[in-house]
Amino acid sequence: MGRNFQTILDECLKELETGQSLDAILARYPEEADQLRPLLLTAQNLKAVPISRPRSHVQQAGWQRFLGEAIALRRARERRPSFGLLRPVAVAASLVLMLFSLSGGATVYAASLSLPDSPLYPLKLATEEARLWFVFDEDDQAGILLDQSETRMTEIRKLVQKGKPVEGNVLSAMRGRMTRATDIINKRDAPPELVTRANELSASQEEILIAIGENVAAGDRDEYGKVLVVVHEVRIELQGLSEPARRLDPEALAEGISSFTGLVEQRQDDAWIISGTKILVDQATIVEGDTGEVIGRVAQVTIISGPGGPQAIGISLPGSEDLAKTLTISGIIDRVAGSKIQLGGRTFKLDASTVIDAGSFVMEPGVHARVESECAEEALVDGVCRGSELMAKRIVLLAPEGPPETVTVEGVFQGQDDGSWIIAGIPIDFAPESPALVTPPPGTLVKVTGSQQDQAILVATAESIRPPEELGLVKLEGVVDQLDDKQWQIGPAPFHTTVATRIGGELIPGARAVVWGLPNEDGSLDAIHVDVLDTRSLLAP
Amino acid sequence: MSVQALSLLACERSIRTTARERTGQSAQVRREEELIRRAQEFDQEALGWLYELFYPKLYNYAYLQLGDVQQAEDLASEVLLRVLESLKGYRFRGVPLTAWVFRIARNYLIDLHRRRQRRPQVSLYEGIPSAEDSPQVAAERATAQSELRLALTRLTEEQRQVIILKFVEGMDNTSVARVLGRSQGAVKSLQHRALVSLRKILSSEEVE
Repeated sequence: MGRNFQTILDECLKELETGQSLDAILARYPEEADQLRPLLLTAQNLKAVPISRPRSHVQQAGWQRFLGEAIALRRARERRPSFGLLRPVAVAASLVLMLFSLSGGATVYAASLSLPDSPLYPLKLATEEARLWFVFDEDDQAGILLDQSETRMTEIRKLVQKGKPVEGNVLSAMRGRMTRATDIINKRDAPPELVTRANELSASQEEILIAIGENVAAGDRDEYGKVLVVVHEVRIELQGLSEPARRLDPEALAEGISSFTGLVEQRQDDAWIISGTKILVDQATIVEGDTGEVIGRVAQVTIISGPGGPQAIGISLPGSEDLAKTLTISGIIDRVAGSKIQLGGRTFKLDASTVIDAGSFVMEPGVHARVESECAEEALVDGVCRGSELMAKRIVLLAPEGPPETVTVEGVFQGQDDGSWIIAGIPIDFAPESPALVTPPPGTLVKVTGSQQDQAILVATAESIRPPEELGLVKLEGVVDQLDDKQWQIGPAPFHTTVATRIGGELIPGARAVVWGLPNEDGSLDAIHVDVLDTRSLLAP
Repeated sequence: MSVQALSLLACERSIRTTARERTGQSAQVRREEELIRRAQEFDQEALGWLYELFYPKLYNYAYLQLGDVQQAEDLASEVLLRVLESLKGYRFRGVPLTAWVFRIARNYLIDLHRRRQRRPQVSLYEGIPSAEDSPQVAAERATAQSELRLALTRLTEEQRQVIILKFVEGMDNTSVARVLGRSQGAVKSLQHRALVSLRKILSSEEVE
């Protein structure tokens, strides 16, 4: 009834707009009249709220400023020479040469360390540009441009770590370098390693850009949409797929991208049904993973709003081995030093591909974080991680909650080694005072919570989230929205909570959460386990 | 705000779309398209139209959410400057100009809330009435608006946006969906929940 009622209400509101009387409208919906009346009255009353008017002298002063800005913009456009592409290069050349001669190179060196919010940042970009003048081999040029594009990713990560907005200058610099590199690669037979690198880089960039959507300054959303289009289309071109018949719309990308994980129920040429949700696909959709038999498989979908409904720009079909090698540790950050952080007695290394979902927090000691990590390949010995550092794949910053020493470890249990549990290939030690634990069957997704004691955990709780034999369990991850008392949704995917649902934290609209559950026939999910990551809404109040 | 007080105001102001207005819509769209094209070329008359049309709307939108005259005026000015900077890139392509402008405004507001959370500010200009208002009109306006603002603070951010954009600014579902980056189905759902919540809030205030 819920959905039908929403449609009826919407029709009634439209009829109210056309000037029809409330009684006449309600007479057409006798069964719903009692429910409709108070809502239509509320809507009618809202229309009556007086409009607030600005002070006229302030509006007038604003107009003078607006007009002045318009005149300046028009003059700037008229002054722009026709050889526009050469101008930045010429400016860069004169700027770099002048600063070298004046400062003996010290300023240029300082600029090389600057971030996009620094006044020296334009000089850093100009210096990078100057470096390319002396490179004549096109493969080398493409390689340098990819390096520079990767540097932009690191800069974005550092800005997000510090809680600063990501501005248009770094996004447009990333877009420019990526476009130029792929232009070189596309126009000739580039070495395969260069193509592979550009492909991997663009995939990482897309993942990072999607994660930082909320950190992009409001005035730079257009540039954000443009750079996303470039990296997505680079991926399509370099994977040898055909030119996309439908170019992506930067505005649609700038408006917002969401992702969810669900179960593939149907696959048609133009749409997939995933956990009951129809997701449109076309030539601009990148499908990754083993695409042979997809029905019944778990899919991670990245979607944008399209005119015909949710439109997939990416569908990833991870194998069970991908989940098995990810270890998630949550706790308070002890230390941040350069590209490393310490948390839960572990050191995590960040690189350009590390995704940071900062919410509105700063990555600093004392902040609660959830780190998805894996063992570096060179540290794996007989399937067990022997390295002291883990590679951080994704870091979600959270509001501090619970006692500071609390740490949670989550991953697939693989067995025991010398008294340690091997979770996601990584040995986890428990303090001797911990209660005796029942060893789960290998393949079980487990979650252990306790307090940190040196390198070990004093276990408080240990639970099995997903037994290995439980098929079809689906994971949703993202910002939750409330539909009613028991019904919630993440992106377009609805889920229900029941008395049997284990909920860690308090479900609040606007908070980030991880939900494990079983899909129903109507496409919704019965939540079995919900981990609420935030203690308050991340949406603006 | 009491439901009763609002009902009285509703009698004074009803919005009707007459057949004559509907037939004039396509001509209006063409005129709007022409004005945008001229504004993109920095034609002063077209820019004046843009400014006059949106400044009061943006001010009202901001004031309902910020409750601060000066901040609402600042937001209207800043958003229009951003509109000016980005106007060259605007294409019709099914996105109404109003939705495009309000999307910029909403993003600006989200940024503003983030900054406020980090650095709270104390307003010196709370509730300054417009100089053109008579004391009685100003008092009635202030009461109705402050009650609505209070009620709106108890909605979720998206519910609040739907209420303001649809019922105060008069947008249709398509435009609201474009501002929020949500589907029209989601807007209908949000609209339902927002009206239910608002009704409950206003009714409880009336009882109190």
